[in-house]
Amino acid sequence: MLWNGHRVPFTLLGGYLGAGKTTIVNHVVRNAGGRRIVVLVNDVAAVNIDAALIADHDGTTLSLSNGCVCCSIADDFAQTLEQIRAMSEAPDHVLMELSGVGEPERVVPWANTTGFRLDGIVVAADADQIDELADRPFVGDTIGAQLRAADLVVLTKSDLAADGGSVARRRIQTFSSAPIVDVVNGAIDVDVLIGLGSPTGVSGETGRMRALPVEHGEYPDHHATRLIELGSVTHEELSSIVDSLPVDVIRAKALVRCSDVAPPVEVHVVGKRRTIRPRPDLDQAVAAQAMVVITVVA
Amino acid sequence: MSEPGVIHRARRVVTLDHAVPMAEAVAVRDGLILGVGSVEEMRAAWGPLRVDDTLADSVLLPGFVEAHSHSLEGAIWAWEYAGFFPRLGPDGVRRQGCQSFEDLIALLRRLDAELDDPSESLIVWGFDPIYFGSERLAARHLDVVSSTRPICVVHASLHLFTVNTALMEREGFADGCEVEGVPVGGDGRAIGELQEPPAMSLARREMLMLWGALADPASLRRFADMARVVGCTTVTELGASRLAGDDDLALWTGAAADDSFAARLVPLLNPALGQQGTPDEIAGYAVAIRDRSTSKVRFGLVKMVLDGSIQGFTARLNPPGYLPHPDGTERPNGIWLIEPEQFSAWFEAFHRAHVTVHTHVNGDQAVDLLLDTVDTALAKHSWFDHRHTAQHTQLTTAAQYRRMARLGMNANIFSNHIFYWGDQHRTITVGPDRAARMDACATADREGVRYSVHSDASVTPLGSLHTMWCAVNRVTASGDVLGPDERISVDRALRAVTIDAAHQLRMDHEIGTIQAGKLADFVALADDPYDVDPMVLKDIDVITTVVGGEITAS
Repeated sequence: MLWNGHRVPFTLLGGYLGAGKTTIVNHVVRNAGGRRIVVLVNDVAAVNIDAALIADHDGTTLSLSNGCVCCSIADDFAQTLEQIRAMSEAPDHVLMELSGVGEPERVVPWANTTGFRLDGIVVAADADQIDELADRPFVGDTIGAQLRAADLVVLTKSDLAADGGSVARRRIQTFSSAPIVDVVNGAIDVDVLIGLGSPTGVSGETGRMRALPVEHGEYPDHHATRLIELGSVTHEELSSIVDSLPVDVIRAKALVRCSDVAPPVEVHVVGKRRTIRPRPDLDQAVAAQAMVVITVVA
Repeated sequence: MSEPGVIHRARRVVTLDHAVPMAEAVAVRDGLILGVGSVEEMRAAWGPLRVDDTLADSVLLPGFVEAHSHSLEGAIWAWEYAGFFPRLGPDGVRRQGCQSFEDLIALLRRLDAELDDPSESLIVWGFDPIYFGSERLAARHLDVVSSTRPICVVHASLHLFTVNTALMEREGFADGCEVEGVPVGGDGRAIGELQEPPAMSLARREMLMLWGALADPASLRRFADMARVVGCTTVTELGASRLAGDDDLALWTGAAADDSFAARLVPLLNPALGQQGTPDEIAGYAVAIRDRSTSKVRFGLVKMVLDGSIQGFTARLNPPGYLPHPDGTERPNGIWLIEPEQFSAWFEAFHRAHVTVHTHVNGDQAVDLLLDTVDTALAKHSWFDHRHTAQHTQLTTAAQYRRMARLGMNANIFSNHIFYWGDQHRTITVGPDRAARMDACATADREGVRYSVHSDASVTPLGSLHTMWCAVNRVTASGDVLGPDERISVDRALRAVTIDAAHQLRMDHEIGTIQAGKLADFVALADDPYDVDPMVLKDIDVITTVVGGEITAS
């Protein structure tokens, strides 16, 4: 069975032309922090990587010495995903850049096909452009559909907007209740976009654990990572804790032993998407009674 | 030294050339037409040429030109057809089709017995159960054929597979899975339907086999054979196949290198399929590969896709948009496949390089974007003979055809839709009034737009006589006439699938009529389309084709 049944988290990155998607992708592959990330982009040539970091380049696939791989999605999705499935070792994460008119909701089913599970939908919006774009002939409704699908909105280029992005934020909020993260020069917090290891030290998925509390770098928003102790919980109590997480939580992850369910239960939060699912493939021993959360402090 | 040449005597030669509309014979030498007239006139003019009476009982017409098709029409015949309607195969044999589950099971049992390797997948295609009543095909029906061999039934829509339990167990989803489009039964087990491409991709090995067929030269040979049996001498691949490098080009020229290859192929370059570089670099490449053309393969045209399909609710419509869902909820507009900025950047680069662009525009809003783009490109760079073509152009209004005419554009109208989906368009997608003006050939004529009509094979079966029949009669599958005022004459339809199709492929100086100096590409029919009841146009027998002066053989 492919990767012993393991399913790789899959993030969809949408947003119109000029929203800064490629800049974000560039930042992520340069700051992968040891994660083996596969990025699927419309044009590999647009991924701007130092020559020193390139291990192999065959025109449509770029292999980096840090373990990341950039693939072009020129042909259809099914074929592109088969290329990833052909990798003997599962990557840690897949990040797919949609076209400027890609509607994330229509791509979501692909992110749950063999070997993958949807992690979240992230939509980039240019602070100086989004208000006008949402009314633009031909594509205005597409922009609306993208924002409505977002679990997390990345507001880009707010440093260039005369108002610091306040009009853009208000316009985005007419479409979406997703949290908005302010990002300049694509420098997104990779932990926010790609996710965290589980708070156990022997994470089920990435095998990587970061010391807490984590100091995040220089971001326009202040991000804070916290550990929430859960203690003994039932499945229902865990659900209600996750449901009641405040709106400023942009990422959360946990693998928890519930007192009334046999397999460990996994919690994933990406912006407003909150997923709780049993993981019968994992041992109770790797679970922990704590949840890591990243909050955005405006 | 050239061959002496030969005179093909026919029951009648219909030339579509106004100088000599009809004749007894056509003289051919070195693949070109020497002249048209009586046997006596030909001999008086060109000497004592041999007279070939092989086609003496046939009516000869210019070979049909299918200006919008896909080579999938050849690839898919790597497997057997299991559709509802009888259908000709590339071998010229008519399959009777499957009119019941029993027919399908009998076909599968026969094919299962023919396969030696017990793990080899059994694939059939074209299955269409809409006339079978309410019962749905499921894994349990297929399991009676084999509990070990994977079986995959590809439905006519190409958006649905039904697979058996052996296949689901091989891929590990027999007990259900999280992928959207994999329905489960009361017992929690997957019933065997894989709905839409993400779910269909769960049949991993079968999907790989289908893609493999697209890159197989044998598929192009079957495509040409399919063209032959329906009377087409030139067929196109409208940008669904990559032409991004030498290997891609060689697939086409290599497959068609053989003299016996039964049709000319025109594959269009799609910049969205693996082309690297700036718009100007891609346009330069589109020009450069013209030199890679051969007598049977012509490169140099471009195809782009702006929106989706009307029956899939993904075409971009102007207000009032799609009819609501049956429960009254609004249907959203369709999808764009390219950003308007990217489209115009590519379009203008091709236009500047004098490369003709064919653009898929099903919905009327997509047509507006195309017209705006052509208008801007022409304002920046003057090129009178551009022949930019709106493909499908199904919901195009009279006002849009007027703009198209002023901009010097061509149209290629998807007339087959009227038969295959006309009833659904009237009741489900756009309603009776807009359905009545779909695929509006007569309006295009009235407003002065030159056009062809097409099958989009394998979306609908390849066959210019059937496509003509659709444009002439506008009869739906249920037998109603959709928009009778948009019907056109047999003569107009015949020109649409010959000389006007050739025009938008920039080949009208070479093919599309029977006249001296053009390529000797003909179709031999059992009856003259002008003489028959228009309702039986589609039933005229195709005797054979002639490509480059050679009578094609199966």
